[in-house]
Amino acid sequence: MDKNKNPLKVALHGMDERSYKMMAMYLQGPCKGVAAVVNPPNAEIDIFDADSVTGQRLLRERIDGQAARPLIVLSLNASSIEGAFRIGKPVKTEEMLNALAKARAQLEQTAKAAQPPRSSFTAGTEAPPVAEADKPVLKNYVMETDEQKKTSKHQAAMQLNEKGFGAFIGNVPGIDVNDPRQFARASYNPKEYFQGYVESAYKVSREKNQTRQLNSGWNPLIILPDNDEVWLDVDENQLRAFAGLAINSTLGSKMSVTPLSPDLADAERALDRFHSMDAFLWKVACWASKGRYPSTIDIKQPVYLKSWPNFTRLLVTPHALRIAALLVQGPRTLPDVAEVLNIKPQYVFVFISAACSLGLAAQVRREADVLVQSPEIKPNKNQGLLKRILSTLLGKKA
Amino acid sequence: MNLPGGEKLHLYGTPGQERFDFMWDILVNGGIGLVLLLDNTRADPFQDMKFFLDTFDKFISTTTVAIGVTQMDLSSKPTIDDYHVQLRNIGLKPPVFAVDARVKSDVSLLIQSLLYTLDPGLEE
Repeated sequence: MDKNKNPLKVALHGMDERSYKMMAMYLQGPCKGVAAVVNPPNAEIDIFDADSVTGQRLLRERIDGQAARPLIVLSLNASSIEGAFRIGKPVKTEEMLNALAKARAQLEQTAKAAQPPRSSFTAGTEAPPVAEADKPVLKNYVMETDEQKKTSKHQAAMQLNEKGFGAFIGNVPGIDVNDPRQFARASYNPKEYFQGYVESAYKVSREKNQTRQLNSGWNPLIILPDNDEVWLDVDENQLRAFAGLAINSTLGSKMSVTPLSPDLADAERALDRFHSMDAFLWKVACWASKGRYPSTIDIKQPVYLKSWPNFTRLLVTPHALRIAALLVQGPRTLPDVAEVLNIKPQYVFVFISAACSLGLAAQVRREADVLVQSPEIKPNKNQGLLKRILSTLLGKKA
Repeated sequence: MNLPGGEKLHLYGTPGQERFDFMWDILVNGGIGLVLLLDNTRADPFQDMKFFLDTFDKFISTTTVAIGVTQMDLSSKPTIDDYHVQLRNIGLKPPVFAVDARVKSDVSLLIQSLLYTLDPGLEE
């Protein structure tokens, strides 16, 4: 029998939260999932930390209570406890596995002795559903090693420089978005792009807190709001092309958000096709924008940034960190940001498009915010040193 | 870190345990900013954050702070948004990034955000 498919259900006692989490991960990792932590009422065996004050009291109560299930005691003290498997601290994996194997054997022996006659089982009887309380208690912990292989769990940011912008983000033929005389034409409506449909689908999925799929006549986008993840079986080039196209009414009529279809619910999903919801939408918004700003923004009115985007997990467009640092200080119009930072407006527009898609940036609505001008930025007294550190970080020569 | 022009930049990390607090005042002397790394698997990471922000309050008020949250692949809660809510309540809007301290680009972005917070006009 594969032990990992039938892990021993263990309850941990007398451990503070950190030790508890560490032990749960230890059983999953070095002990290869031979045992999994569950709530005490559902456990098959108990593990006590006999060196903590609570642990000693609980252990005494457990011994006095004469419970039938196997007992493992972790202790610095070498003295043995009758009927318990003792493991000395620091716990060694071999000793833990040995004790768990003995506990399993004891359980099997007890089960054999108490086994009811075979006739009490009917062929084809479905296994009872797993009780809610049987689920592992550390819900927020990633127990599956596969989980950690998901792209969404570790994907580091891609930092674009000015040279890479055109090739990766694209541009709109016929408009110079950097020409102030053409600013009025340099906007786009996110609702006419894949971005708008993704935003709507996220909203539905989050409000209902249900897995949903966005059908587009293309591969469906699966939205998993519990994990803040999406799954889409296409490569990045295909997605970039699709996100950059305005969706016409024919394709738009095919767009729908539905509960997950049964065939997709059971399908295996490639781990490298998972994305975090925010990183996915941010990128899709950059590709829809192509250096334009969203039509919901009035270019003559200031915008503000609620908080810094989580840049280590997002596509970092040129000057995005500088724009964020400036806007966090106070609201400004988009052309003003470009002027103060001495950068092309397209970099400000693409950043605002992405930040608006995540709800991080918005237009100022209060009169008071327009009334007072944002402070002038003053060069830091250590600017020379800061520049040299920056150029080293960016791998540039001074 | 070897800087252009032959200068050398020394980065000092200090253990967060309170028994090492005698080092903290010495290390911030002459520092340009604070990078705070928080472990998201800790029982109460907000308490840790508040503790260090209070402890380095004076230093942060004259420089700045950038916060990296580690171990988010093991414990996804609290989220980065949750950190921002806590920080807003104490009137701060620093960069807060999910960070794997072993990944160069994560740490580089965190330090870049610290530098740009000090001076957004800093040109690349």
